[in-house]
Amino acid sequence: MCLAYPGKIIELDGDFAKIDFGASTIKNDINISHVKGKKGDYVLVHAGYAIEILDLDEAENMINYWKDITAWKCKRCEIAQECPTGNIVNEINSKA
Amino acid sequence: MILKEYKDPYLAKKLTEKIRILAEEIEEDLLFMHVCGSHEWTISHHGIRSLLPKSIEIRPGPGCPVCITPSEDIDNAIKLALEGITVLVYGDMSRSKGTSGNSLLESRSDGAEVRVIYSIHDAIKLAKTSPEKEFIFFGVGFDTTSPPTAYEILKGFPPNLSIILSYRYMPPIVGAVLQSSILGIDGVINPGHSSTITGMKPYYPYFLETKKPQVFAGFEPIDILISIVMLLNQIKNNDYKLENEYTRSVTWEGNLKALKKLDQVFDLDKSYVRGVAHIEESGFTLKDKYRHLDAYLKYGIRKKNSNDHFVYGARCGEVIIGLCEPTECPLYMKECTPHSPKGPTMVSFEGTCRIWSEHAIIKSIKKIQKV
Repeated sequence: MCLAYPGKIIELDGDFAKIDFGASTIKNDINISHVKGKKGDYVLVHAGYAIEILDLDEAENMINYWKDITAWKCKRCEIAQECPTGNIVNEINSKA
Repeated sequence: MILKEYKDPYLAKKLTEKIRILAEEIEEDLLFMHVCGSHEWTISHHGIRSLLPKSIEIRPGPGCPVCITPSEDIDNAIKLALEGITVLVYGDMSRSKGTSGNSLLESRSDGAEVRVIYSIHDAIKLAKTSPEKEFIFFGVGFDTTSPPTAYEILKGFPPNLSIILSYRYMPPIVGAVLQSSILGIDGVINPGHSSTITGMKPYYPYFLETKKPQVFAGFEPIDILISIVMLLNQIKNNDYKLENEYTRSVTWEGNLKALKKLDQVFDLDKSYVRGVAHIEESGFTLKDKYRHLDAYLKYGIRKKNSNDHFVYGARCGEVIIGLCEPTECPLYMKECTPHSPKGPTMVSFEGTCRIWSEHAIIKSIKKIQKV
């Protein structure tokens, strides 16, 4: 069973923690004995037990990498960020 | 919150375009398999198959713990429940049918003692509140579910609680699926949460055996799309490896704390994965120190490891291994529906038939026939 939900540690008490899953869902008594979590960390919770700490920096890393790779690169300047957004592209298309 | 970006439709569109371009460059038909019910849910729910070009197919493999629990375990649980021992079981497992055609829940009408619980924590609480009764916990799951059980066993079971173990270890199952020449798989999308516990390392020996691409994927739709791009890139560049897409959770080493607890409590042994085969080192068994907690030992039941069968006409076994789609089973959405399931793949929340029926998939989408 692979279903696990991300949640933020609000309070810690030994092997157990209070976790906020967002959308007003807060659960007490989540077992965090398998992770070295502290208050404010995000963890993945499966059936009442935290299985790992979510590395949000890494999540951002991954998504930015793929946003970058799939970004449209303007033929005129090769770097999308240097083009006024969409304008030059539209110009080229209308002349074609 | 960065995790919302993993549902970004704009990025999904761009990744889909990338998949299309890569598929055209590769030119071959490609068959990928995943081994997780939750992956199948994400793929079906977000309609990912409809985004893929015709030459790419993602097939659901053995990823549902209830589906692969042998009917022998169900039969034995029913037998013990009829003898007055209360069997504590998860909701969907309680409705999975044994050889007699009855499930644990249905056998209550014959006097069986069965109670539905949500976790082993509940089981222990119940056993402690009724010390005069005998209880059995029916433990079903993969590597994500076994650490909590290990934790509770190390803490100490109450004396009136024992366990029927049906935990399976994923890496050998992925290995078996990759090796199968009947399936002819070109790459695997590896389970995300089970490998959060085990790490990527145990999959490496199976990678060396078959040298096929393996990507560890997360459970958001963007995770799946990125994983498909990763698989296609590996194939295009002829650069096969174990690749990690779920970097925010999966690591090479895994969760060492959880693995240490697992190591203290369990050994790995050959086990029967229903619908698939007897696979080496795929089943968790209790170490000598904790063997007294095994319900089979406690109540003198010998495991026969016999072969399994499903309801007449049902193709559950083939659906579990990925040889057949639910829509190809003659019972799918006719006699066998979520309201009256005939086989484990429709009973379980993570069964392929159940997930497809919930998403109203009634037509076959199989494109690739590998011989």
